[in-house]
Amino acid sequence: MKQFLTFHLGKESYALNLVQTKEIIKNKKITNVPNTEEDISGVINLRGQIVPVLDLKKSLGLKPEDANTNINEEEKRIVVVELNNLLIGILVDSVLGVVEVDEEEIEKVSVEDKSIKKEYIDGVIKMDRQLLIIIDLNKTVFRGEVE
Amino acid sequence: VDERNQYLQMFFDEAAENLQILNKRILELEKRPESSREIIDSMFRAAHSLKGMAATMGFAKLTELSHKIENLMDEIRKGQREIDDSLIKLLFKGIDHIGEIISCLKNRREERDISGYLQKIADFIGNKRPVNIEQDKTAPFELVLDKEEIQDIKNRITPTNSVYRLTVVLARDSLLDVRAYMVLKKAAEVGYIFKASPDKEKIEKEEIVNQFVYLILISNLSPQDIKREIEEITDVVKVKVVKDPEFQDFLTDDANNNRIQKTNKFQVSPTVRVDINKLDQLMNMVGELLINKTRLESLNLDNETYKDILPQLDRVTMELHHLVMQVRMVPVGVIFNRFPRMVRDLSKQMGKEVNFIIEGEDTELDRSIIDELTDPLNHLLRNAIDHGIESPAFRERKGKEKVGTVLLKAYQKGSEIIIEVEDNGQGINPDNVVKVAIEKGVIAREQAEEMGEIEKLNLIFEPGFSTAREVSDVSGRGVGLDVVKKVVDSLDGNIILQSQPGTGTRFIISLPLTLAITRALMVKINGEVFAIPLNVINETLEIEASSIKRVKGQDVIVLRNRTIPLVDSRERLNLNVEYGLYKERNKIPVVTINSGEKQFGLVVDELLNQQEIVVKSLNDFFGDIKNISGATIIGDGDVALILDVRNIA
Repeated sequence: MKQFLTFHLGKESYALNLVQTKEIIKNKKITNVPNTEEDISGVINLRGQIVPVLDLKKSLGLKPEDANTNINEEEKRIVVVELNNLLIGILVDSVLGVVEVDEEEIEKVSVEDKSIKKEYIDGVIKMDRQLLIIIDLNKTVFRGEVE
Repeated sequence: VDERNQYLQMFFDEAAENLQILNKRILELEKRPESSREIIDSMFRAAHSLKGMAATMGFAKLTELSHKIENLMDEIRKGQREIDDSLIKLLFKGIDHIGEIISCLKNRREERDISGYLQKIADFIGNKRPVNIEQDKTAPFELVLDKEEIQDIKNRITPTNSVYRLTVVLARDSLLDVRAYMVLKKAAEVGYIFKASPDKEKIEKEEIVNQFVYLILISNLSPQDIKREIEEITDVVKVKVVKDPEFQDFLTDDANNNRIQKTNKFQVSPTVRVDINKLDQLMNMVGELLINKTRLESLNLDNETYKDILPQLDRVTMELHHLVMQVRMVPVGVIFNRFPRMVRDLSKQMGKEVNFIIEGEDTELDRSIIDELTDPLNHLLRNAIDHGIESPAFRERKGKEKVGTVLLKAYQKGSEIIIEVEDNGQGINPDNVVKVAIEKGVIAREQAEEMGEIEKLNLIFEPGFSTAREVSDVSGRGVGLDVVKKVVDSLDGNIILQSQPGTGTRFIISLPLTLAITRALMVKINGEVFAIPLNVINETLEIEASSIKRVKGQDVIVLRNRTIPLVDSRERLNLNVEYGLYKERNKIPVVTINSGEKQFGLVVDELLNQQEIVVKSLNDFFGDIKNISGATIIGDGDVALILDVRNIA
């Protein structure tokens, strides 16, 4: 069994491997960092540590019409994950919960008709007529280094 | 296992220290062989404690090696060996081997095999017998005292007299027995001869007497006086008088002298070795405290206790901060002392003659800064010798002193530490720099035409630049001065180059005293708060839009007869707004900045307060960000970025 954290980005639902996630915090003041890439929202103070925050929608390259619907500012969260020993915040529209899935239930199919880039998808989970897209965070965050 | 690791770290620290002492002392010995005594003593001690430490840790080869070197020192100490090139070379080799073994151990590898060197040292000690004693079968020996004799001597010691070891060397072709007799006679006049070799009986029996007379003498005269007395005897070549170490501490142990011992104890305060990581943590905690203090201050409560407690909290925090900073400070000598050996080896290898001078090695800098400086300084010094100092012949032809001078100097200036690397070599010709820069595609020809001398020289710091035509094994290595500049920049420092073709070159590095906490001016740019470290700020102004002039498409102001270009902070930060809007305001806040030899005015939206900030590095995720050097946490718990203004212009 594998556990995933599920969340909303715009109108779609996505999933992250729970092992990677450290904590979820309420959206707080993000300080913009100039001269950095488009999808970096800025930095936050996490108990004295400076943590970068990523606008995952921009990282994934979601189309504005997919990204900008179904948003409630109050429900926005920052999911803090640990990748390559670095703490990174991921900005999401709302957190849904945790799901447990058998490995066999994960389909390695490509998702058609979505604006999200294929290489960032690690598979999909079909649940209650709902589609959960599993994001390969390593590839999404460190795409420069991977390519 | 942990305990051993702890000791291991201690061992490495101490070993490094002793190694450095040895290196330094050999260099001195090479320069001034005549004043060898004190140098050798210190070397002997270093080798000895190295041996002790290695033995405790169970490093057999290191123990043996230090033991051999210790033996060699001992021979020199006893005057049985001339100090010559081959000896110096052997000693250096030995130190290098020690260094290699230690680095092997550090990397958890086997101790390196050094049997070859050990054999060499054994041959050296064995073969070249001490200063000409052909006739000697009873090789010179130290007088050995047995237990009873030691007790006997102790009974004779009073607060006014001392126990001396005398070594008297007689001229080889003199009447040895007669002279030896005279030595004994004279010695008996200045003190009490406890033991002698040869003794009176031996001399009277006409047993063979060699050039050496050894004495243990108890006397109330000073060693200098004794020496002078004995030297008056005809055919005495050399006299050595040393307080017998065995009895030196004897008196201080004595109950009668308890008072002396006590006062001595108070002169040296005890020290502790601390892991640098613990100091970092401590500094972080002080930083947290500081942030929270600032937050508390920003509450601005109307409450008696609050108003009473704030100044006290402020004082305690500042003192704590000051203390922690003090603890983190280390003298630059820690790294400076590594260089004489490198300079010596390199100049020999290059066939150059260099007088290397170190000044201000007691100047203190934050430990974390010091560690970063080794490579840049190493690079600059290598450059000075390789490219700066000319060959002796060339220098003579140019009417310069044959021996070139390289100066490494550190001093404090305000809240900055300045380190200078200076040579009196051939200097750098700005036009040559430009030529190379164009060749290597660093700049375009047209660009060069508009450049001043200083700008031309500074091209040398550009990536992809290296004036040496061929990559020499010395300063080449594919790294240029751009790397040096990068390191200095990363330390929030600054590097300036001054050079006069034909007379020399000087690099001036200025560094903040400490990285962790600094005073900064807070400013607002496009709604966000930024911090500018005070050490780079010249002054703050509020100017009128009407005082702005335009020169070559650049906004400037004239300040005390100096034309200062204005830089729009919004533009430098690539903020997604229209630039140059400041001209529409009637009061424009400007921060004038010193960047090397340039000055410019940074236009911001609003000048806020000054405060202590705790410098935090941005997460490694970012790498280098243009014009941003770090971040800090401000009063309300938000993050403010620190502007890297030196490179903003």
